[in-house]
Amino acid sequence: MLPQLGHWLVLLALGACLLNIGATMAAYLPRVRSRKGKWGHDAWLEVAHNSVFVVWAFVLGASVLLITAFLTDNFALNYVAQNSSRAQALPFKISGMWSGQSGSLLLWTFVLASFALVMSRGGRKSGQILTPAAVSVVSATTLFFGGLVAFVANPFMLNAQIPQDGLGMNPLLQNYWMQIHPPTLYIGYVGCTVPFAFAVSALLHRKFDHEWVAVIRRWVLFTWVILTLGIVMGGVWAYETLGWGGYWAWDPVENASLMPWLSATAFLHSIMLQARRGLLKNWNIALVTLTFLLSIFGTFLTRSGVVQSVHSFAESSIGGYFLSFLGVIFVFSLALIFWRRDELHSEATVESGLSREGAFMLNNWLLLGSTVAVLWGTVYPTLSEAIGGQRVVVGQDYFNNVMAPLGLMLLALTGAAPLLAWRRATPQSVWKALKFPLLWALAFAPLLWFLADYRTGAATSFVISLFVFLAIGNEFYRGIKTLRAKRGDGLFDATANLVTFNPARYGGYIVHLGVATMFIGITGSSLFNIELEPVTLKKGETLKIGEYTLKYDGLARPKELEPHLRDQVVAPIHVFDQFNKQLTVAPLDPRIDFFRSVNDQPNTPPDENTQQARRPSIRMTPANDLYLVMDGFDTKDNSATIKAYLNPMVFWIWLSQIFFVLGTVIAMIPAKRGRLDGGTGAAAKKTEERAAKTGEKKVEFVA
Amino acid sequence: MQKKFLAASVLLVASLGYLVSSSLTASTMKAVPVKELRAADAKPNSFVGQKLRAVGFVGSAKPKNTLENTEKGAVKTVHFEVVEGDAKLLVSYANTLPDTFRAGGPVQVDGTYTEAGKIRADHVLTKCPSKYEEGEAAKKKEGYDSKKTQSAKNSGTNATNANAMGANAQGQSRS
Repeated sequence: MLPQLGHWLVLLALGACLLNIGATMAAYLPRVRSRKGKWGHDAWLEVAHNSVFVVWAFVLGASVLLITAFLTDNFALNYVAQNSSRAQALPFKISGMWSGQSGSLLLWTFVLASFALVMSRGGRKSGQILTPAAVSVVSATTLFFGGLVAFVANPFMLNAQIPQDGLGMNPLLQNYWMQIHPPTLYIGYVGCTVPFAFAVSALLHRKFDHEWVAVIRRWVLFTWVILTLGIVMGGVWAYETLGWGGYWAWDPVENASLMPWLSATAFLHSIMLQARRGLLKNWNIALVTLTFLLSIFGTFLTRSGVVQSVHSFAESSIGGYFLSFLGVIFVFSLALIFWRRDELHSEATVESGLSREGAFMLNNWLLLGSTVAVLWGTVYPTLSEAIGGQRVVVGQDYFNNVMAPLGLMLLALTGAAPLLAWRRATPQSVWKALKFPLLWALAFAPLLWFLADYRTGAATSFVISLFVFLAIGNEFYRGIKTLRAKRGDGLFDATANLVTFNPARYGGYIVHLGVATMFIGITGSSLFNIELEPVTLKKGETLKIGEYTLKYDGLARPKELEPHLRDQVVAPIHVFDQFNKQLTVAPLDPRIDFFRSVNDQPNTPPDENTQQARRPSIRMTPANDLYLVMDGFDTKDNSATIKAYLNPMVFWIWLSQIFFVLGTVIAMIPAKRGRLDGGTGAAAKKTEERAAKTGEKKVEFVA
Repeated sequence: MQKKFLAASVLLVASLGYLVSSSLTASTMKAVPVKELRAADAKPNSFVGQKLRAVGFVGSAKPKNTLENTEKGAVKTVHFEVVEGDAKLLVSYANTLPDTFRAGGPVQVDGTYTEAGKIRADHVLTKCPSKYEEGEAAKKKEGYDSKKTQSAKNSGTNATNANAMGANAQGQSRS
């Protein structure tokens, strides 16, 4: 009966959320606001602050109870019986918690509550005025998600009859990425709430100064990098285990995670205009709101079944709640922005399109355009069905065609924009800044064109990527050189000083290098991939793909089976290069897993109803991935049918994540000298004037 | 300056609009349930010759493999049925069927509707495992009836229990 307690804990958490919101509101009542002592402003804020911890503790308790129910095979709980079984391995019992609708909503609620806790503590430490209201916005969101858990999708629902064993998690999900990917993506998704909460708080307090900029920027950076990792992890998971040879398919679920990422990326750039020049305040508020709306909309898409492929899934009660919530936030934030419209004027104007400001605005346009294009392609089938009666589906070509030019323009900005001067650049100064990387990139263009098999699109992408490397590399080189000359630093010290001196700027540059790296990988793997038709091989027979020769070694079985498997059949394959040199020590092992189901007796051979999964085997090198899938096998003649792919440069996509993480972590470090500039633009002006007077290279605190 | 920005914005929006609409017309196709597809065969608005997505459930007949002669030489091709009610569609597909391909499971087939009742598939899609319960429940309800009876026969009472529980669970998650 312990698990039932979980339901009560969630209800109590909802109560504590209400307390938090109520106490915060009370603290800001005109009569209370100036009052001191008992029942004064501070006392109410204290209540609000403590209630956040209570919410967190209750939701944590509920989550622990649910996981405990999984660990103890408590099939009295319907949710546990649906997503776990006695034979399920321990890690999958734990991740069973988020493998279904209601449990994953509980995890969502927990992440929200944890964010509120971190915000509240952090805000109290640094005495931020914005924090209490922001926390209560997160509490309101927690109220919604917790409400879903309590009243709509209750993971603590009991079975009428307690079954002997559970149905088990979908075997295709039983992979270690199940432990990492969903929680990471959730943290990224849920994280979108926090910047929105601070935006609402700023609107309520009429406070858009440097405190706001600093706190919101750090939260968006955190959310953004986690979301990046979550998205890429999803790609790795699909690539490593699903066996269709790719990592991205413009599936609605993938698009749902990409859209808030795109708008958050736009925000990370436009917030710099506010930090430095006090520009685009209303735009920044709008972008943060949009990012939050998109994260909720994405959740709606993935959970309601509205966009999911086959029409028969389109029945779910939860979608309506998400749509209503979406509508409420939309109207609420629109009204709030309208109410405060007078406070949101820019403190300066953009003087010239040819400037850093201009480049940032173009960047924002392109990112927002991409968001709109992805959104349109994602909802088009649903809209066409609603309006015209006939469902019209959108192929992957649409997304590739639209995103390729937008992406290449963004990539070019990644290299060029950091070189442009603020305020007003002249054609001469632009040429001076771009000369070196541009000319060298163009000098290599013919070679890259040749290497890209005379394909213009691919060559363009490679040339622009090279340009980015040269441009950003040159910035580092110049900065390090200056520091060495001035301070006599060694190479290592100079690099460290350069980066810590202006972490926002150089962290951003490192991320830009990651973007170029990723583009190289995406271009190579999507334009030069080879996919062979399935070929049936007998023992000893070979197959050629690209520069590789594959030799099939006859079917094999592992000596010991993992407990969740009935059987596993492996097709060992050795790889040889064009000089017939053997490249593999242990053979590649594309295999088919046959899963046990709940009622299997041990040692029953698989039959046609056995759930199976083809597990690809990948040999990764920086140049290309050899990707092998066993399509089928025949034990009579010991043959296997092999499907082979050659995917060039996928390595670079995964590699780029190191740049993303490293760069973002650096960008979050507070600057050694000076701090994030306020929204007044006055300080920036002063810095620039001083720089102009003394003639030294100006120091930018932001990018 | 304001005017210039306005002009640039208009230009950007217009080119994006053009890019989106031109790409959209080039890469959309109708999604047609098998029943509707077959019903239109005899009518003037037949889908024969069109690229489309056929939507239905995997038929109970076991998929057959053949070697088809194409320009690329002999290519292993798999043939299976997609059904919806009484309507049937024969699919030929020169590729690997997805792991989640199951008799009775929901399926969508993208390809060319070559002649009445036949489609040559470019892609076969079954459900991705990352969908949440409702989808699963629908799948079990719609498609796994045949499997249910079979496995119940095979392994006796235990299976019936588990399945009864499954059905029970669906009832609850829907209520």
